[in-house]
Amino acid sequence: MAAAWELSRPKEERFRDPDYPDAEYEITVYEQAWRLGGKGASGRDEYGRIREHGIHIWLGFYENAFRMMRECYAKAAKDGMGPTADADKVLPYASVDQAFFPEQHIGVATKYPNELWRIWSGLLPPTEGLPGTPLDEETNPFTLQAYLSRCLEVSKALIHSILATPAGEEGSPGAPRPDGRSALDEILDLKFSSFNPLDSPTVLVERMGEMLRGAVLTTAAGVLQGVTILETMLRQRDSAPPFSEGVLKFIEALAGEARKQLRDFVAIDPETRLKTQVLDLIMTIMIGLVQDRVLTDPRGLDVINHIDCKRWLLKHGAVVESVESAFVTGLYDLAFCYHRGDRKQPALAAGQAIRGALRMFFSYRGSIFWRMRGGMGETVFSPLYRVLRSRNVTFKFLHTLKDVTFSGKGHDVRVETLTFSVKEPSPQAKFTDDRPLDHFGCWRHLPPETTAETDTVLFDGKQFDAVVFAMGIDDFRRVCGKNLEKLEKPNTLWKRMFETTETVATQGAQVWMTHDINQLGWKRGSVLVSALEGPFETWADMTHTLAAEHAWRAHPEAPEAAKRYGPDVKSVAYFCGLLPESEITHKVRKVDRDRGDNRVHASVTRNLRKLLVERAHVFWPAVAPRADGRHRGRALKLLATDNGRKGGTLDHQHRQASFRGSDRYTLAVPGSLQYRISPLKRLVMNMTIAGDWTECGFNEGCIEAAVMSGMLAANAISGSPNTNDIIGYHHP
Amino acid sequence: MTAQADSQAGPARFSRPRPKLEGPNRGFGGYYRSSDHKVAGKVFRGVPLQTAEDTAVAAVRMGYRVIDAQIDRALDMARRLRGAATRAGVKDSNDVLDQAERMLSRGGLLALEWLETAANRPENPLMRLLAAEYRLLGSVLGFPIDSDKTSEKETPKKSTDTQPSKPTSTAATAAPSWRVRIHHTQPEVEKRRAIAITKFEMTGAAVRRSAAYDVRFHPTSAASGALLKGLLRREANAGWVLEILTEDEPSGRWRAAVCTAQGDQVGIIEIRL
Repeated sequence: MAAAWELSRPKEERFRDPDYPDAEYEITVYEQAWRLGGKGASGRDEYGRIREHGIHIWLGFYENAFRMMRECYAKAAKDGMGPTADADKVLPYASVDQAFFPEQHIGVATKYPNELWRIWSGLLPPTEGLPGTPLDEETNPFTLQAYLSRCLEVSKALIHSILATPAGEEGSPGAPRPDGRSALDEILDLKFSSFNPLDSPTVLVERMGEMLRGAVLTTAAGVLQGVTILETMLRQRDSAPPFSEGVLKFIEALAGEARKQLRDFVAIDPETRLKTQVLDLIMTIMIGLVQDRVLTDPRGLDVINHIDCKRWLLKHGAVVESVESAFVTGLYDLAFCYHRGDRKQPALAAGQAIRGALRMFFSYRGSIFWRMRGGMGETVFSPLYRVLRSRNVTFKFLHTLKDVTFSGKGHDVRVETLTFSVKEPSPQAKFTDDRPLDHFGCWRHLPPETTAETDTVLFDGKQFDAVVFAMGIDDFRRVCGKNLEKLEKPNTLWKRMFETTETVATQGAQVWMTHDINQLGWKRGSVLVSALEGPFETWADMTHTLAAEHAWRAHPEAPEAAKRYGPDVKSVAYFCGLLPESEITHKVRKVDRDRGDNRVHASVTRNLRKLLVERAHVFWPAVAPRADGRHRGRALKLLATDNGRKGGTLDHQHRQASFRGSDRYTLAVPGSLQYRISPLKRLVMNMTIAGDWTECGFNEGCIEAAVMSGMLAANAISGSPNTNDIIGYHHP
Repeated sequence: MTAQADSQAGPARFSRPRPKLEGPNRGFGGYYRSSDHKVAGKVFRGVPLQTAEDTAVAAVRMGYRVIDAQIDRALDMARRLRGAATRAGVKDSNDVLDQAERMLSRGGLLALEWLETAANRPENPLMRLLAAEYRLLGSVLGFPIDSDKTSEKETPKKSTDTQPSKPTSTAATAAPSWRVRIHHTQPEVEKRRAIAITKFEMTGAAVRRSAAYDVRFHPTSAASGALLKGLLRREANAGWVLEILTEDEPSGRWRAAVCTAQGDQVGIIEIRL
């Protein structure tokens, strides 16, 4: 979509390289599904409920993706598209600011012995500016000043959030905070501009105690950090003048003493252990960056992509407890970074992990996370569809790419033919390429009924001049892999990429509950919590989407069944996680596709049952079983039906298994990223590639990577946009 | 996708243009990016600062903003303290805090002014200290500060900086900027033209000499034969004076070589009339 967006951009709005021709393009998008979005597609069922592929949250550093959406919504508004427009122009939201809202609350779960869980959650500070708006001098995060101030703010927020964890919460994660206060209240208290010490001497004393505890530890950590970095630099720099043995010994002794003090302090104050893990990780990353000379290497952070992030942290002195802490586990879980979906085999390239963390924490604008008010399909892909059509882009749905042939060799390889298998929608389905959206501007959850399936062949120079393959790597490998590998010259490049790039299957679920989250026992407000172990490592409260579902049903043209939707749904929770290959392989072997799909979906349903019975009490304490085992599986009794009433079952809930082709998630596996091929690389004269699996500057599966890759693909064809205009592309 | 053919391989077959790069430039400068600007309604997007020199310049400028922010923060703190004292019932604290605030503000500004003035004087010990620190930092971060990099710096490159460039020799690398005074030798006041120095580069050899240099400015754009005569000499306080005689020469950029009597070039000056 990003490639189509850039290639269809009006000439006067292009930021192109002047050496390239300023051409106009006729663009046709061939989509195998009945809706746009691939892994990000979503739709509405017959009751208006949102059905997603997984949990989609936008990060505040998605500058390129947000910029595209801002431009898109601005054009849509200019052309009269929006919630009040007629059927051909209707969209659920009128602007980006309506479609997205900031989220600062994030959490990770930690498991202690005896199945005792505890959830840390904190609010990361808001910043000036909004993602996707011009990087003016006030909000530009890519400056020394911004890096320094963000570093201080984020560290302070992390430390405050840990210090602010109320006593008495041990053993009952998610329990009410004192006086029913939220984490937000506590963070506000810690901002001294709004805290009057004269009003509350007790609070003042408490704060002083907390500050003292924090100050001692921070000072110790600071000393240790400084000394250790100095020690590392002195030991590692080849060009440094030889230092006397005495100086080194003195520094070693100093570092040793500081470490001992820190260890002793933590030993007598377990409350600060979580905080020391944060400090230990920050310290280790800084030491590692200096030791491996990452900051000055022309390859930037890519220089350490050959090693797994956890191993890299251990190599540079982090303690095992920190490396296995919830913070690091959460980082892995959010990006599904496990070989074959096996939690025992973590795999995340260290350089990309740190780049991701730097971008995530230090270069966001407005808020670290941004939620969509509705489904990703209608929030992102509906306006893109409508505006692209207004730019004369043609869409052809239900076209599955079956075969691709190439001609030539060496430096003159070309795509000769594209063969599509085309499904014809039945007339009853009321589905056409021009009207794939419903009365509210949303995509449908289920595909339209089809009648016939025929093949269509397109020829180079006749039906197309250039092609961008923008599917997932598994589908690309399936269709083009063998033919590309047969080609003489670039043989090894394609082959290496196919061999080293791994994908993983994921599973998602959405459950509509008859209790709100306060009644379920979670009192800290809406949140995204990761590191819950499997099945489904991540939980997000998505109750805000109920408003979007209600608006769909309230539309005059909504189906009659939807208008009879019950009043009992009070909250909705989304879950997402790995789907281990061990749960898939034997289920799809030697059976037809439909049967294999059913078997895997049954497995996801079992996993959801397991989560709700055995793990839901971690974030919903009110459904915890009693000590005698009574009330076990209480969460199952609080499910709503698909038409919004009490007494629902698992079959009424949404379950998603994403394990085939482009639905799979691409991993940033150590030792693989250097073999990714950039859309800019000219290996085939009339073809390029796009997707978050390409070398796009940010090599981790996410919306931003997909958009950056699309922009590069457009550049490869037309020279626009200039790579300097792709924000973060040249980030080390 | 179908595209208007821009064929390199044949009359009707599209071929992708040859890419200028095939992957990101992960150099240190990529951490930074200049801000977007809007001029006459058109947006000029920022660019990553690709060279270490661009980055260092940007970092120095940002450093000034950090200092500004610190002053603002200190003033804000003083105001809040004053508010707290008032709430606590201290009647005469306002005057005390006002004085403190004023002192803090003036002290900070004076300190900055002193630092800037002192750092601008090449022979000042503070400047030597800053130079040493810059070299240490530069060597750690991999900035090209060694004398063998001089030739690289002289090659034309894109830069966001509009200040006069810094000297390229090792000895003078640390000088944040040269202080150049312009002295008009034209006796008729109405013929004195406004002059701005856009480039001032001197080698270490020139810095160490105390001689005066005759300079002749040539226009950079037009092929006119007009010349501007000037004299460049050192001042007692280690700054430079450019004595220049203007008449009715065309406006624009003018450039002059600074040469010794033997003809060795020791610097370049560029001015805008």
